[in-house]
Amino acid sequence: MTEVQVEQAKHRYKLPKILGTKRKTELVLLAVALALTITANMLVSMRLFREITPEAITISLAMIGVAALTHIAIRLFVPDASQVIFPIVLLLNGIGLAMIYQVDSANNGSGVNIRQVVWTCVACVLAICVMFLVKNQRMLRKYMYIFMLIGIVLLFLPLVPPFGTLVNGAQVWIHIGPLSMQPAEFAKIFLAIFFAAYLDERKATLSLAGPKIMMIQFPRLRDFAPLAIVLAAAVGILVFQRDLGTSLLFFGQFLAMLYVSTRRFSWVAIGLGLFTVAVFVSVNIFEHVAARFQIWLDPFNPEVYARAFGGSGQLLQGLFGLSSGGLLGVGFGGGYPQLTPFADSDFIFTSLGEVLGLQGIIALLLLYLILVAKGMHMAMIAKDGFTKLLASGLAFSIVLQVFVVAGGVMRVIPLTGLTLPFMAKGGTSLCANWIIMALLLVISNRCRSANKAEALTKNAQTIAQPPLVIPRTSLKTTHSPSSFRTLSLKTSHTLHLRIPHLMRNLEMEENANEHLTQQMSVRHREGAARTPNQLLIRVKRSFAFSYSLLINKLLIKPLSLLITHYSLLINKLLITHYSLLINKLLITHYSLLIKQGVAS
Amino acid sequence: MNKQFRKLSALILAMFVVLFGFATYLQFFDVPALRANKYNVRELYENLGKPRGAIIVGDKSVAFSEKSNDLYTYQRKYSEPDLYSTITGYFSVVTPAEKGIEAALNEELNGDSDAQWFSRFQNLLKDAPSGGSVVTTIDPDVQKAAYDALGNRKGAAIAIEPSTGKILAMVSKPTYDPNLLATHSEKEAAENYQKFAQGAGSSPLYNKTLAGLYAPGSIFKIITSSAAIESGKFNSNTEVDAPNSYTLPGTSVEIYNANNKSCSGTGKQSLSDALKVSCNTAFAKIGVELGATALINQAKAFGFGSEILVAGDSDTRAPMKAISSDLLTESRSPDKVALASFGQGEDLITPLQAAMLSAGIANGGTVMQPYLVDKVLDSDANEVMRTSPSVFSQAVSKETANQVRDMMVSVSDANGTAPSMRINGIDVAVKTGTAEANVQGTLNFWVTAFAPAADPKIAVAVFLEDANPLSNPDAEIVSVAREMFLARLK
Repeated sequence: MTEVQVEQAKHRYKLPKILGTKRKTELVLLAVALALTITANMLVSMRLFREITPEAITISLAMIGVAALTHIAIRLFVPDASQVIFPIVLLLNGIGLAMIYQVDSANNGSGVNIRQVVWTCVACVLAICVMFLVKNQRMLRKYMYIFMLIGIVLLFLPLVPPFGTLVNGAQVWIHIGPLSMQPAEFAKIFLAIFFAAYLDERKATLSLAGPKIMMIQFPRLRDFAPLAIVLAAAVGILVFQRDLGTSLLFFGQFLAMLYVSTRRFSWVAIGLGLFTVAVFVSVNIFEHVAARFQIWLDPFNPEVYARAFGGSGQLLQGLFGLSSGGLLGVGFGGGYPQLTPFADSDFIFTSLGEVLGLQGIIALLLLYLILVAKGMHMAMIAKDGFTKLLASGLAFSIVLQVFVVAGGVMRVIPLTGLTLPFMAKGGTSLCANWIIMALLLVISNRCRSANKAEALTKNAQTIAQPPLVIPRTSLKTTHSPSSFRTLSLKTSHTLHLRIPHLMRNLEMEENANEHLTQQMSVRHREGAARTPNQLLIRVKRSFAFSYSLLINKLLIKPLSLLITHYSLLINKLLITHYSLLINKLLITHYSLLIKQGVAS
Repeated sequence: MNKQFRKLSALILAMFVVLFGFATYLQFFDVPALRANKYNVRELYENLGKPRGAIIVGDKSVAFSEKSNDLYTYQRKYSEPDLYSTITGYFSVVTPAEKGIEAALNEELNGDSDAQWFSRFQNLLKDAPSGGSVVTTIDPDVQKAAYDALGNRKGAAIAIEPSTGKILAMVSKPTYDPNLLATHSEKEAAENYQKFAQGAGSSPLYNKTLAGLYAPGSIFKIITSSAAIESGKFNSNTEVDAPNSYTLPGTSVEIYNANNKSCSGTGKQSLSDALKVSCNTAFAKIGVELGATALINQAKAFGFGSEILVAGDSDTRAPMKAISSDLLTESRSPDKVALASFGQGEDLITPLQAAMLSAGIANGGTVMQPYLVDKVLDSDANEVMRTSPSVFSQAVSKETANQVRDMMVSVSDANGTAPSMRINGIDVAVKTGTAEANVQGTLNFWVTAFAPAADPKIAVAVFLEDANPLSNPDAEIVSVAREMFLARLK
């Protein structure tokens, strides 16, 4: 390939093809997500009202609109972004809408579901604005201190008297006119950007070695200030806003990013230790925190159950909901999720558990896991520290939120006031999470377009340099140390059987990336071999290599297996729901026919 | 930084694995425990959300579910509420069923029992899965006769088919209307429940036939007679002492016969005659002669000292069972034994147990296990369960049973205690009893009887509580038993 051809290839790749074939995978996945969403909403409407209600039609049309609009915006603004992220978000959002619709209808309908649909549209527009405005995520670091300020103000706004009110024992809401919002939801985005920029700037200092105590290399004492400030803020939230969830979310997000940027595990150990102490102390000092812990530890105690406000009744009803869902669930429109207080917001997870059963819950969690894995993948392939930190920080905030919410209602950890991303009722949370999705798409777009161009260049060069070429056939079987690569290949391989011509495109991209990493590692190894006789370094390298192999074997393999199974599960969900719907439709129609026949 | 990302990814995966683990535990392993939790109201809602099977008496459904247009989807209805409330119990939105067949066969009515797995499977394909129906052993004619004859009196009546143990009638008065508890207005249901539940033993929710323990009075003499003949020292013709008064051994307390009458002019009479005129002193002396152990063993052979299950499974939440009748639980001193021998002192008996005395004698000494549920049908009316008659105990030998039977038939002679029991052309075996009641100035009255003596088709026990002795309760109670016989033998 000549220089000109390489240039041409690069050029071709950068051109946005709005109606081209590049985002067909996304289209297919969107169709699946929409089908599931619409089916779920129709099931709710059929089983609760015995007819297709205008609401169900409104929700379905709105979701189709949102999907179309966002898909076009993605083609326009972030054409190279991952094709999996948006369909997952849409599916989570749609299933959440159906759940809210069911709970709201069972509670004699106050139009909560329609409000949530409106919020979805608002969130979609906001996300499109972010995609449009933020051409390159790196521009965000310019505003780091402004973001910090906004983040802190938002975080502590609920404590300011005219705005803040105490809702369900936690002071996390603000009210401006008719609108009420949870500003912490937005604060987490601003603070993630600030943390990423700040930590990227300071990682050199922060990772400097300090005193070594009991085999652990501690950081220097003078570098503790940022950690101390964030810890103080987290404890402040815990104590004054009475919200363990938000506190845990911020501190966890910060610690994860701190660890990623400094590589020092001691930071995490110290941070976790101090946070545990803070929580322990506040359990002993503050009654409301202690009450939450009691509910967690001893919900079956009649005394705890019967407590007038904040008894364990809600938690138990949630658990009963999960148990009545069992393995397969009762299906949308069935069961009694409305028996649990806040079944469409704080406890939407147990409502979903009742309706979809264990299989559905696992599928939903896997959807989150894939979303997060995409985020981590971006963090890995990104070239600059800020992007790496931002991607991992945003991804980890989703993980933490899911863990804290799902763990809270399943008694893994004490109950908190966080909401399940993309699913729970609440406009603020929805908007904030759609913005996170938009940012992830922007990052993904940048990383992938940069990588693709580079891969093409490299590919062209390798053809010119025969000794470094790795035969294409061996690619699929080679274990790459780059972790998520194997996994994507596996997935695409499985899907390949189902929708071959659509996946070919994706696989080509993956192969291109594969080439790049392969070459890099080969070069790396060659370089290592050439380094003269430093035995220690060699031993260290071989350790590192076997470690990555181990991780690959123990972690990535099972993960890829899980994800393969996920696609099967989704398939199953689809089939179950469709068959139920068809069954219902048929039976309703037949019974109507028979009734009419009898009447005439 | 990619090394850190790998570790972070491992942490993320670990967090999700924890969530998977907890979800699996809660939605699979812990399901039975969570379902059984007393705070769990979902089961109730589920049960209310599908048509529950019917409770069938004769060929009529006396309890059934009807479509309703509210949150609960189905409304439970009782077609003859008061007549069958003792048997059906109630199914309510406020409190889980804990009475009658509704409670004892809850799983079967819901279609959740193990035996119904196949119909459950078939139900998956239907629009509205429904539960199974319970067919009772009740004879609607006998039930109606007992219900009407008892009228507004407090008391109980129960009838058993001696050869099988089938319960033919079960009435406990006062009764209640289960429809008032099945209403979907939670407020009304709760209020009605409060109203019905008042007064423990006098509450209409209280099933006297199974849960009521009362002093048996003279009907206990059937047991003393049986023990006497079984001991070999007596037969129905044996001359026994029948003094006008008897001093309880070891005390200075004197007992007399009812109304201070003398049992016989000579102070002696046959065992048969002693039963015929219900001679207290004679039976007190026989009891002391037999001793506590013989009496207790004989009573146990008839069912005393054990709970008697009539419907459901003892594993279910609220099976229908009679509490155990008691005899000489505190002291076995001779004076107490003497009192117990004619049904005073420490003896306590349930109406079901009283009926089993007659049923046992009627069936040649073999007491059959009483039961209320004949069969369970699935939603397509296929039989999934049927109760087959089983022997509860061999109370006395056939020979003894025949002697006691003849003695009991003599009670309905012109000079016996229940001459009005006689039915034209049919020998009726009967024993009456009177015992002190809780309310001052009133007495409890008993009748236990079976007919026809030659080929018994029905054994009954009737109990009148706190009856005014001046209103001629002896005649009234006998007429209740007689009406039940006529209904069965017509």
